[in-house]
Amino acid sequence: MGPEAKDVAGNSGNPGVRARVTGIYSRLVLLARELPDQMSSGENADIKGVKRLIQHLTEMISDGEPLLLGMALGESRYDYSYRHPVNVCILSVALGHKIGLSKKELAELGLVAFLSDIGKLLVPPEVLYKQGIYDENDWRIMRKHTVQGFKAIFSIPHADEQLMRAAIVSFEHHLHCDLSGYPAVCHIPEQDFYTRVVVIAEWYDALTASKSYKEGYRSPDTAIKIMLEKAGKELDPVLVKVFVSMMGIYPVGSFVMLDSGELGIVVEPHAVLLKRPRTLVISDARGHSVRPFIAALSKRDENGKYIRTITKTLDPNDYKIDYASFFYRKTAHPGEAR
Amino acid sequence: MLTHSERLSSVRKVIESLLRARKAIRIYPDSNPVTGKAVDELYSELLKLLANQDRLSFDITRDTIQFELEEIFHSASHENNVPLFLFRDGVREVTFKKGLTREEVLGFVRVVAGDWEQAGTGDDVVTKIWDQDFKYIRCIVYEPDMFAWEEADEISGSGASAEKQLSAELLKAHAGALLKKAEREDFTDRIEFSDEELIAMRREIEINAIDKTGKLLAIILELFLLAETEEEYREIENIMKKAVERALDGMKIDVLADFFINVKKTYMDAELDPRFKANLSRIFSFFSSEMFLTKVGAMLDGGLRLSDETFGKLVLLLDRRSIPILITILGYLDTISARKTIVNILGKIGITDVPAVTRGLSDERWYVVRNIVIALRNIGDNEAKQRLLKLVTHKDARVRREVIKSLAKIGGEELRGILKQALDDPDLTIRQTALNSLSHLEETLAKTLLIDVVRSSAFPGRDYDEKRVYYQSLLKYDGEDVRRLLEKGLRKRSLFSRTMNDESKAAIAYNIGLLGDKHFLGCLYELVDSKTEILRQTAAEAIRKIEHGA
Repeated sequence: MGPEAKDVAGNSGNPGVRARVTGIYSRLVLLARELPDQMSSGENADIKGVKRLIQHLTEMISDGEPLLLGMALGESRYDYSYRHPVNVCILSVALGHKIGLSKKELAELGLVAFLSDIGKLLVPPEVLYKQGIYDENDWRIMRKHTVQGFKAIFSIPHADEQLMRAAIVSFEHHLHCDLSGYPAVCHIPEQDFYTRVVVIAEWYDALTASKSYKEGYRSPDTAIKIMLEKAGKELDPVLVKVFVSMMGIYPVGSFVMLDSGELGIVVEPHAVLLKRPRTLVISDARGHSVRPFIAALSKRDENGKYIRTITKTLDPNDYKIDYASFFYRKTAHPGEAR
Repeated sequence: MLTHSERLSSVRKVIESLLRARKAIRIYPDSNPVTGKAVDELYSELLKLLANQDRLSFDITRDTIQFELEEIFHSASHENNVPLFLFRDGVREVTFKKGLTREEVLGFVRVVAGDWEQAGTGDDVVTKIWDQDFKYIRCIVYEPDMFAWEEADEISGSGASAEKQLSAELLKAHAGALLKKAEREDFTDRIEFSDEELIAMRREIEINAIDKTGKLLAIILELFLLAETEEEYREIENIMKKAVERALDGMKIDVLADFFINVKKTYMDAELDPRFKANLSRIFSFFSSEMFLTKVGAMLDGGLRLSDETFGKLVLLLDRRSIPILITILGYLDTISARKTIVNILGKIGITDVPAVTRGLSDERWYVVRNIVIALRNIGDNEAKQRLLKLVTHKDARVRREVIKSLAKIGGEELRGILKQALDDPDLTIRQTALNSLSHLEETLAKTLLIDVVRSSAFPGRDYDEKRVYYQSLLKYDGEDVRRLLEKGLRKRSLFSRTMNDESKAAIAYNIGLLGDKHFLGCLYELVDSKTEILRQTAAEAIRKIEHGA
């Protein structure tokens, strides 16, 4: 395949890939919306459908396809409540892949992650979508969602071992690594391994999203910093480190300003240097749109000084920029980073 | 190189072999030779074809399998319709590639041997194939709905208006960024992992693969503690029952025992709300329920072996309420090891309620009564002994035999009289049991008892083998009195019943041979010319052993 066919993220350039990724993502969002109704009405929940989609998702992540991660980290027109399970699923599978889980384990982890917050979707809408600050009663109802999730998953007819693991994680996903958090427990010696993975994905997705019941958007780097601070108490310290090394300080999809004054979108973390990801530059130093090109922030000039460095991160919610669309644009100089 | 028709014939053989292997695996386990042979045949047929080509592709339609556009298999029936089995879940092509392994072939046969009715969330064929992660078998799957949204959900990003909007937004973002403060520099730039962290992570992944039933049950107990209303208690009780049944189906007795021990410990917590205690008690009683214990019995019959630790946990958890259920289960268990386990459990928990155990003695089936006798023996207290003493005259010799063994093991003043009586029992097996049980008596008592029997008028009437065994037992208490008795026996003359007397002498001669004492040689030489053949032979044999040690 010639260099012209390569996309900005260095993928095969198969024009079907983006559609495939979007299809998987959209379909999972739809299932996240349908499953709670299916479960509460006693219908057969379409777990087979979820599993099939997650198999595809797992294959793509195992093959190093970054667009799925980009989808999870970027904005979308879908309701956050339904995107959240999908994002958590993608981030968990990516983290699982990084720590060396087998393909089968990744698919299991994906399912577990996707269903981990299903209890929240069973919370009455007047509480779930309440505008403003939650009162004590709202919190009491919200905190029951872990138990609701466990019961709902456990009660799926003919639930298999994977679903039992999902029920466990659903119950535990608001527990902390040190077993503080909720619900209060006294017979559980430690968090499940999958829970610890999923919780990291959940934290990251929740911190970087805007929702009614939390304080607002945190930039990816701030989210990472918070997570590093919580490592060892609320989050598994080693898994947090793996997550940070996977994402970098500026994860894929971060909207950043460089010291050159250019604006860019992070497309790939550096393997070692956390602050120096490959970044797609989309504007010049004055903010004018340019034909996107990739800048490797790890590159130095002849004096050994880094050519470009991230100086600021921006809240993508503030601007109507379609970040995901940049992933499959042709670069100005395909295949070669500046 | 094969001709087209030869190839078609070979390919048909592949399908025939596949059907045979599928049938075999549905009937027999993987390790069964029938299954092994069927899979070997299929593998061999595939390898033959793959020797000449890199891949073998089969097209799957609703009722047919096709190879190079030729139909090679057709089935309209439901049960044998392998193509429909694959087709309904979307499989449209199956390809076997060069390098194919027997393991993958076996995996594929397992997939196509799956149940037709995969209810609920059971994995479909595609998921099962995916789980196998085949390297040399590829399946093409038609998924019409999977990416149906791909066009509709294309994220807009092309066209002049979009570009114009992007430019405006970028300028706005740029201006906003200039107003922001620069990022802090306090972030680490590298993440490093220690060897310990990496080893621990690998260990975590290994542990994660282990069954999670224990965790699931622990959470259910947590749910119980979190419940606020009676309705919730009931709901969780049902969840618990399902989880326990699930664990029972998986033969996870040890995990269940741990769970119920936790339930018991929680119940013992004095500070618990009484209402909560009542609910917890209901959960705990499930462990002693007929349903639970019946399943345990079936598992034991199915080959489950309990470790000492698990056995100890079961005993700790079961109480006297479960005794009648265990006795009922004893009645229909098929295997000795299963019955032995239940009897051992009864022996432990029966200590708290011996009358409950003895109620099993009224069962009409002799084997149930015998097993209860063993349980009473294991209990071994005075109450159990008193109950056993009443069974010494039980109508069934098999029961009596076990009673004598049991009383001998428990011991006590009554034993001598019981064994004396048993040594005269009309049933040979009872006499043998009594003889074997003499070791439980004090040595002098046992010897005296034996000497009395041997001297009794009825003794010569017993058959040769029994007499031989009696004298052999007597020799265990070797001494002057015993030797005098033996010598007297050898020299005994009888006008009547000469044959019986000679058999008694033969039994003594046999044992003297084993003893190897030259003192008896004179007596023995006097018997080598006896008219009774058995006496002649045993005397000659004994002399040979004493003189030549052979």
